[in-house]
Amino acid sequence: MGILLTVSLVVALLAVAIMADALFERQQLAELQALLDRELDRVERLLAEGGVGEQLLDEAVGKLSLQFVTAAGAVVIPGPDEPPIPLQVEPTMTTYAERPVLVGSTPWRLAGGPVIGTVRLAYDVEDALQTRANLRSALLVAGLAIAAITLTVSLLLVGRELRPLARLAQRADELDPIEPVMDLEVARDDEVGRVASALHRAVEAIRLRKVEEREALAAVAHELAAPLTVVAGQLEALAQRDDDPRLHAAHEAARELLHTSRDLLTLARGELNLPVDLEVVSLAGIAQRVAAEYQGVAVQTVGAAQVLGSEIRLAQVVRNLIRNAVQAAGSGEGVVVRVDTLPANVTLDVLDDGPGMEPEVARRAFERNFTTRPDGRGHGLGLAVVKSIVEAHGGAVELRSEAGEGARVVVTLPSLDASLSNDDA
Amino acid sequence: MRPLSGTPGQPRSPGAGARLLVVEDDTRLALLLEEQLRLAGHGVHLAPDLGSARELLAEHDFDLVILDRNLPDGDGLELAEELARDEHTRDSVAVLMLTARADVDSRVAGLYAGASDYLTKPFSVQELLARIHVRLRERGGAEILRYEKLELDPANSSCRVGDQVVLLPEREFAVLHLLLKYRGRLITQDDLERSLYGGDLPESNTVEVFVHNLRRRLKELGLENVIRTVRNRGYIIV
Repeated sequence: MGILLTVSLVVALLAVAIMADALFERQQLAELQALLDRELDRVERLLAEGGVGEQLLDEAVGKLSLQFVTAAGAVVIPGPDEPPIPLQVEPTMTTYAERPVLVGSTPWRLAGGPVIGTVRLAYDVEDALQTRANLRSALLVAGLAIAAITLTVSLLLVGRELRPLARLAQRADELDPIEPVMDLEVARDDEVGRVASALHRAVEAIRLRKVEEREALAAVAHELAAPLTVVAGQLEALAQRDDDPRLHAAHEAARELLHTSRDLLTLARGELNLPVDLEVVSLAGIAQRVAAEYQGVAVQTVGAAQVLGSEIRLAQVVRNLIRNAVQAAGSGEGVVVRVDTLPANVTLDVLDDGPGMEPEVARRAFERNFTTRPDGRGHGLGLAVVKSIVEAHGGAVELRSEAGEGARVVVTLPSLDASLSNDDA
Repeated sequence: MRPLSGTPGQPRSPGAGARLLVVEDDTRLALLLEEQLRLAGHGVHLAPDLGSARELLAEHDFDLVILDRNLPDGDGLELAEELARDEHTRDSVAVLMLTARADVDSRVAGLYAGASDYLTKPFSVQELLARIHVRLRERGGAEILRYEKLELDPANSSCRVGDQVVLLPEREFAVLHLLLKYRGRLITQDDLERSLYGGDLPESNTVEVFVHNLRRRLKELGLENVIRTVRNRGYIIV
């Protein structure tokens, strides 16, 4: 904004300078013309009174050149050697003897007699032009000075005025849509202050609404939880004693429903941020147990992969990853689960030979998102939960994939040893 | 009140054939649990509210009470607290809470010192069975706890390392007991404070001092790195 101000000021200054220069020029010209006219009048009077040329010449001093020129164009006074001053009736700017001059003329009339030629005056205006040039220079310098000062001042002042706005803009950019908080106080009474207050109120309203939504979702979830447990449990019990494939299909679906809804509820209740009940768990054991629920999934483990964590939550992680992989690969056969024990870390790799995805999609796969992706892979929810749980355990998760090359999720967790020390607290 | 179901007279060993009391007012869920738990070899009684639960507890011995929070005549937590305070049930009856919300009540955590066991709905029956198994295993109040050559006998409040009898101050014994009883679980400082003093000690490092002394004592007895620290969280015996 400071730039805009300066540019408009510079343009204004330029316009003013041009006008000033033009006005000056016109005024100068008018003065010079008036001066010339007066001289011409004087010459006429003197001639009428019978004055002689030389007399007049003596009186013409300085910048004024006087010539008596015959009608034929010959210079009588001062002398025939001098080139004639250009003939102009009205005072006009022109060049004479390589100098800028203002010339004018009047009829040369012998006392009481006929007109025999013209009396011509040339006024040297070099000085006048120089004056104008000086004015232009002065205007230019002044203009630059004003522009420089204005630019500095505007950057300082305007910048200071608007810095709160810039800060507000930055805060707005940094806003976390999950937990929107605008905590910048701008204690001012002007427009900037009002913008800040309005923004503050708007963000607060959004945050409260989100809290309400989350609570509403939790309340709904509460209603669903018990019946869901019954449905899944009863179907499981039935499926155990009856081979009807429809029953098994229903059981599978109910089981998926159970796990998906649990993820949803966990996220909705904001439970992932709660401190987990920590105990010594074997990631290898969890992987084997969960993978056994999905036919065809291969499990390879190296060591027990002991970590300090929550059995239920880590099982959720493994299950979500296997579910995604099975969905992508089309069946458990295309899925491999590997658990490795290293001194400082344990790793869990889940690979699928499905269609894979573009790297940009892979990068966004962990974003919290309650909607399913257009390609129906359901990454939005499961992976968000995985990421939350893994990070709550002090670990990290990465998704590597290329279109047509399947996908691989790598979870790294601190090993049990790495989580423990022998120091006092 | 439902009549007795399941097989009475089962041995009190963890994991198999335990005597369970399920306090749940949702009939469909209660029946499902009863069937599944019986199939798993446990004996099951059902109670739809706290009142019936207390009556059954007065009449029978149970190994584990599965307790829903939202009951018609109160919060299941009340009963859990009663069981924890009563010296007859404190070490012999384990509790597993069923909640629809997992913002774990710190009181629950305090009662069972880190073994704040709960299952959030929805859960699968397998998860429930696994959790029951764990709770029963941890519950054993009077069993001798062992770690390498260390032996702790809670019934006699005595401690031995190999052949040597070790005299531990009461509070240090309590700390060691808790950590060994819930071996493999993180026990927080809050858990220890509540277990030792019944409440939180504001701004105190008393527990740290006990742990420090305990470690030194154990080291003198040739046992090093028994009690491990989880930074900023608490302690654990692996």
